[in-house]
Amino acid sequence: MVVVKQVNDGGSESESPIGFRLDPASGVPTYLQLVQQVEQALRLGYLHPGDRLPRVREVVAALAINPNTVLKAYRELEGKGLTAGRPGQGTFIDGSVAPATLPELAGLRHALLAWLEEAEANGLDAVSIAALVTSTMRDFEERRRDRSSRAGGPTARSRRKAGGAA
Amino acid sequence: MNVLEAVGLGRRYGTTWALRECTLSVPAGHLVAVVGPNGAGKSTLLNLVVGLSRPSAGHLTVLGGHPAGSLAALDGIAFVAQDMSVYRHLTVTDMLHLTRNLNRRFDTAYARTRLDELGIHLTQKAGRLSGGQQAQLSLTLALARHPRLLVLDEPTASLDPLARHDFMGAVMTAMVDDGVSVVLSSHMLAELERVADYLVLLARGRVRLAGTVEDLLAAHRLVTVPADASSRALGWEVVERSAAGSMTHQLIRLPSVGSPLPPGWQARPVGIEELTLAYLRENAAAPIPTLAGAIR
Amino acid sequence: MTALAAAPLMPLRPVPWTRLAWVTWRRYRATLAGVTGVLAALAAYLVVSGERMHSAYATLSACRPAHSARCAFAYQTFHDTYSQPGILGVVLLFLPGIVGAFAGAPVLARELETGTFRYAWTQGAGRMRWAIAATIPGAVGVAAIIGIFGLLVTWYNTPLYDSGITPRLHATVFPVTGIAAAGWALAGFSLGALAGLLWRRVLPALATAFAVWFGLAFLAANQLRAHYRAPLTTASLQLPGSDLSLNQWWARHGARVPADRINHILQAVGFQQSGSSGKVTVQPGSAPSIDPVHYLLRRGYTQITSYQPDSRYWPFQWIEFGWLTALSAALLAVTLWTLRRRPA
Repeated sequence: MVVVKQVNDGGSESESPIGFRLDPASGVPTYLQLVQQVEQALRLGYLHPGDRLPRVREVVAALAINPNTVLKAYRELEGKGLTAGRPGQGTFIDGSVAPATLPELAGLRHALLAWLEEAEANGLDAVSIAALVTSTMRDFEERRRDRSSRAGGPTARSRRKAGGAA
Repeated sequence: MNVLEAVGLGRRYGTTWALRECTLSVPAGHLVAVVGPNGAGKSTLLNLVVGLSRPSAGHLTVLGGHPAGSLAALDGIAFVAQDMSVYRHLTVTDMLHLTRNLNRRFDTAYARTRLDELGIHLTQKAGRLSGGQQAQLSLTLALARHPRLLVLDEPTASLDPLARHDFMGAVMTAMVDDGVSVVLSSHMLAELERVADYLVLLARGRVRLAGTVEDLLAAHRLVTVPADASSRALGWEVVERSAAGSMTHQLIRLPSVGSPLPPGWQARPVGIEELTLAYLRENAAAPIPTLAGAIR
Repeated sequence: MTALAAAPLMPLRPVPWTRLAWVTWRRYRATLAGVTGVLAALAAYLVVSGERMHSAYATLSACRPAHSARCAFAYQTFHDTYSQPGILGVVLLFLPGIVGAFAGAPVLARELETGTFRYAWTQGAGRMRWAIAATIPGAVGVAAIIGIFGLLVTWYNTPLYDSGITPRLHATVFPVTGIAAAGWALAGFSLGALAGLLWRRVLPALATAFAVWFGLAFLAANQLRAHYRAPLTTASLQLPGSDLSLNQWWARHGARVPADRINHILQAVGFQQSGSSGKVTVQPGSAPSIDPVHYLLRRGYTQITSYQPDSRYWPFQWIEFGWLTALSAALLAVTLWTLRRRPA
């Protein structure tokens, strides 16, 4: 859940337009929740390039979480090409999550429905399908992360401007 | 710099070893959670770190090589004990004066500002403050010394959830502001994921796990395997197993990060709370051999 | 996050004593108030009652003619009224021990009992400096206060000395007057401090410290004090009231005669001598008409009395103060050494 605080008036001392919330029961690691919230905000249009993310200190004081966790989340966002840090000023939105365009969405939806019908025909019920999807997504995510770390390591992460995976 | 370095550290009370063969190398800049069941040696370890106790065996150095309990160590380490240890009859102002006079370095202005923000009046007697306020007072006194290491012994055990949140928020904000490293002992496993980025797990006086949370999680998987398969056959360590019919769930420790799993095995990562519980449950059973320090 | 500073290369200067002085003052403020209050109340009583005794004695010494029956009777009245130390005497005797132990026991024990040592001994000053600042001024302070109080007790006792009722060396007044009182207070304090560290609880420490102090006081009164210097002996039958008599026995031809021989002789004329105290009483059933002492004297026996002269009062005071101070210093050293090695 994203809480919109106030409209960015452009100064570096203004409040960030995004305020983080934690869901301790979701099972999602904290840093990932922060990353996902930024991505969601971008997708929904609450954040724009040039907006400043909350300072590490603010996040730590509000949520009572480890500063290294916040740093990890911000590093991940930078690695995905969504943000850029300006020394002494903070971390700013620098990219965008390209929303899948309407025809692409329709095509993907069609393919998904076909797949679901096949799964049902093979005897999977709703719960099994969900389990399969979740574990496969996890593997996919891991493989992508391994690929990106193997591709460059922490100092040479490539910037990807378009269509980062959710 | 290693904020804590122990080699074969041990502490004995009479004939019982409260802590034994403890070898650790904890780098600075982390919030280190020391977890373990009661009697595992958590308080013993913390007492050794702050110099309230002397080792019966081995060595302990802090803050990059100073012996624990030495003047340099005392100067750079601030301790907040479980019972907050304030003088109940002294006023808050008296506690400020007292702490200022017992230390080389004390930021009175910072302390006053913080207490003001927290709504703690200077004329109140320390014993009359609420539990949460006492905890914040002890923490303020500790942080005003601008230590390089903050040691907390079950600091939130007697606090309500809101007070606990405020306390830990203050601790971690200090990590950002001052670059202070934190070592705390805790029972609150549910909080670990949010709060700790380095874990030391003690069981029966020995170190069972030590390393950054990131490394520890990367090195473990929860696998679901057919009953006849054996992770041990692959040379992997099984931390915990539970069998159900033709399947077993095993929490395994990978020999190295990114080791591939055999086909047909389903694996998922574990959370830090789950991992800790599994190790604690494991140790409720038989005695275990010591693992060498950090995972890396 | 800010970069962490490198470990300091220069050795750190310890927290200066001046800062710790405030800590000491704050810690002893309440004890000081309590002790001063109690002593002030006692002092008031002593002044009032002492004034009465002093003026009674002034009247007595102005009595003329000096050896008349009237003046002898006046002396007897004064003696009967004031010779018994009573409750006050006992209280005064134990006062240095009680005050010393009361001030010394909580110094370390209260920190350990309440858990505040976890705060106090992890501050930059460290526990050794803290302990030194907590014990030495307290010991000196308690000794000084009791020492000053001892002056008042000395003043109070003056008529008793002058009238010969109580020698200055007597066990009921010696330890509470002059400089010995300060020494006994020091001993009480250092016993309290050590007991406090070992027991880690205030009340058991207080009880133990006082018990040991009492034992020491008893030992000093019965065994030690009489031998600070070899006692003198005299064959005179009348010892001045200001000298402290220790022992009495009979001798013949320069050699001591065993008590049962004396008893045997006395029994022949209707007296008996109790073995332990040497007191001569009339045998039941007989009615002798002679004085037993003169009887023995006429038979060639000499009564020897060992004693300590009043002139030795101050040398003995310094000897007692000396060994008490040395003992207290040793106890405090042991306390600090134990704290260093085994803090918690």
